[in-house]
Amino acid sequence: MKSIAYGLLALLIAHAAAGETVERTVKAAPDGEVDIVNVAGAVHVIGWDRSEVQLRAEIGSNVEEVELEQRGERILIRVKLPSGEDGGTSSLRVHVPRNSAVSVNTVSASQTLEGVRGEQRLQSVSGSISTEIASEDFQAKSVSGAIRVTGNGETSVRITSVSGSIDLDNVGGELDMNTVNGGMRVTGGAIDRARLKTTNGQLRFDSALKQGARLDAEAINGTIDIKLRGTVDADFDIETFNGSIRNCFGPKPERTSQYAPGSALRFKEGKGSARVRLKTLNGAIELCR
Amino acid sequence: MEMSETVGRADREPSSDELLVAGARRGDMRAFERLYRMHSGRVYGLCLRMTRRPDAAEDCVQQTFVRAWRNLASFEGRSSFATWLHRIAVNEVLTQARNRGTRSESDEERVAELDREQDGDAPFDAADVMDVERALQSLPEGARYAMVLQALYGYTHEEVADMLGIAVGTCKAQVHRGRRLLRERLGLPEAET
Amino acid sequence: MNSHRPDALDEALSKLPKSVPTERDLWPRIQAQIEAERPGKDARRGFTPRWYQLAAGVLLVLASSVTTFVIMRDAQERAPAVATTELPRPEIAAMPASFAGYRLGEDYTKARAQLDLEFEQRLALLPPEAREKVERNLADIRAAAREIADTLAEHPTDPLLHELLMSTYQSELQLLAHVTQMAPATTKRVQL
Repeated sequence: MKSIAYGLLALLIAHAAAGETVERTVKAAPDGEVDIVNVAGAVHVIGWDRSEVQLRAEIGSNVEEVELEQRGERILIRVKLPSGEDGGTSSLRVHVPRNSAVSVNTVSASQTLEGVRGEQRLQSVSGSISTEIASEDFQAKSVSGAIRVTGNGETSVRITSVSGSIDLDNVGGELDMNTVNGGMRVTGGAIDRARLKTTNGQLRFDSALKQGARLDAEAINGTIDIKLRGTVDADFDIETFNGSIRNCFGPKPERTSQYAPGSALRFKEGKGSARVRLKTLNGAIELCR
Repeated sequence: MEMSETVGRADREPSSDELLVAGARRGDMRAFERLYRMHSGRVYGLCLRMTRRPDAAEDCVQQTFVRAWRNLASFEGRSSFATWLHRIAVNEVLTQARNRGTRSESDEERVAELDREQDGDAPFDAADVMDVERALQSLPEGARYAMVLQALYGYTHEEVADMLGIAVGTCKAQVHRGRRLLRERLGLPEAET
Repeated sequence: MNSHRPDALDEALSKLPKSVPTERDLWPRIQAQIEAERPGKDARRGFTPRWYQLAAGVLLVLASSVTTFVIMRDAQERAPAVATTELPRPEIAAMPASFAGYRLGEDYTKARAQLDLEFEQRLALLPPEAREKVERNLADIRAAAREIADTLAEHPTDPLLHELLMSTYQSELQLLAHVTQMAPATTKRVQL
């Protein structure tokens, strides 16, 4: 495949009227970048087989303009609001070449992505994020919006949320996830490395560990519930200061100190190729298969 | 510096790096300067290709050698001095990138600049070294990092994965992607599998 | 993968020089920085914007949850044993300047104050509801840190408590950095 060079700045601006629907289609690189910014409303991104980006925008009241700008292999779509004013709800549906790298930036607008196989960087303040990912890197940040990711294969995932929940389904590879009060759930997939951390949220992990994998989970007041799928070959290091430990693998936890309530459990299952570290202050820990 | 002092074992001739490192460890700044003279070009090449910005790359070189000086005591000689320096440099690049946020404005400016430099409809020309350099610079961050270390500086996937703090599989995927994009951008045929 | 046969791409790549000369000699700057850090010198004199950046770097590296202890020890080595005083804005900063034997130093304190300031500025731009959520969560983290610190006072040698305390401070920094780094496009003030 030959590389395609595009005119640098194809600028299309829709001065929109409320209630208007705008449609634009531009040629796009099969694996270029698409950046989308919308404050309120919704963003729906769909990966397709054409080398085109198609934008369909339903424009609400109080929107200054919708901008579609092309810079080389990068396409920027922005819903601009009059400065200092509130409102501006718009609903965007954007078709992008399947292998595009997509970044979406919203405040309260919800984000839904399907069929995008390129890298994704999603950021939302309170809008929910729901996406499918493939093998490229994935990053999401949110304050209170729930994040739901469905995967199919191995990738690297970094998610930070404050109080929104994080839900991963069938995502393997490397996970780095943090939340303060949001719940965290990892289901399916096989993990190489996972760092899961919450202050007060509930943490549930129900996946397989690959050979030599590392799983570090920590909750201060939240609970940790681990269910390991498949053959378990790992070294375990489990510790809580005030919480309880329930373990289905055999060994009983031991009191770590005569004076402190804490207990710890260290044991090996199989050859101990993977390493699992689970720590809490007050939260209960459960480990099963 | 008194080199005779640093030759500890007769059965193996220490390399000039080893002698200079030993000198530098004793506080000999001239020995360390010679190490800088010998290695800074490669470190700069690596930093420049990873950061894509001369000012950031210079910063990276400076910090790499300052850190190397501070940590000379911990250099065990298990890898070559060059490899050790490169590890520090990569670390420095990653730290810089994190501090800057992943997509800084200057990065975007640089990418826009690259777009502008790319004239008309012609793809990059594989026969032109500058074009190959530009095509490499146009790669997305992950693929670029992996390609620079693996394809250009000859580190193994395992070493690259370790340097970048990613899984070996991820590194392989990034190199694969980098190669595919470079082929496209340089108008080179797909490799036989 | 290492053994693919040389093809046109490898050939093109092999022409790139591994060594690239710097445009100017960087040695004088390196030497100056090394000299400034040599033992015997008053390290505090070396407080320059570079030091400041380093400290900020430590903060953000911390905030992005990379190995904490190593960095802290590193910071401890570099920074003089000074900062056992309270932070300048105790109402915002819950994290002390030193704890559990890890002195965080003056640079750290300053960088931390800067991060707090940026955080406050950025927080003000968030929609009210989101702002309230961030504040509530920050309060939760700080309450957790206080609880651990209080427990640690009763069990000063418990390694788990040390680890969790460090980690909770890290969460706090991460939350600050998370809000500070949110792209401006989304921090436009709107009614949710």
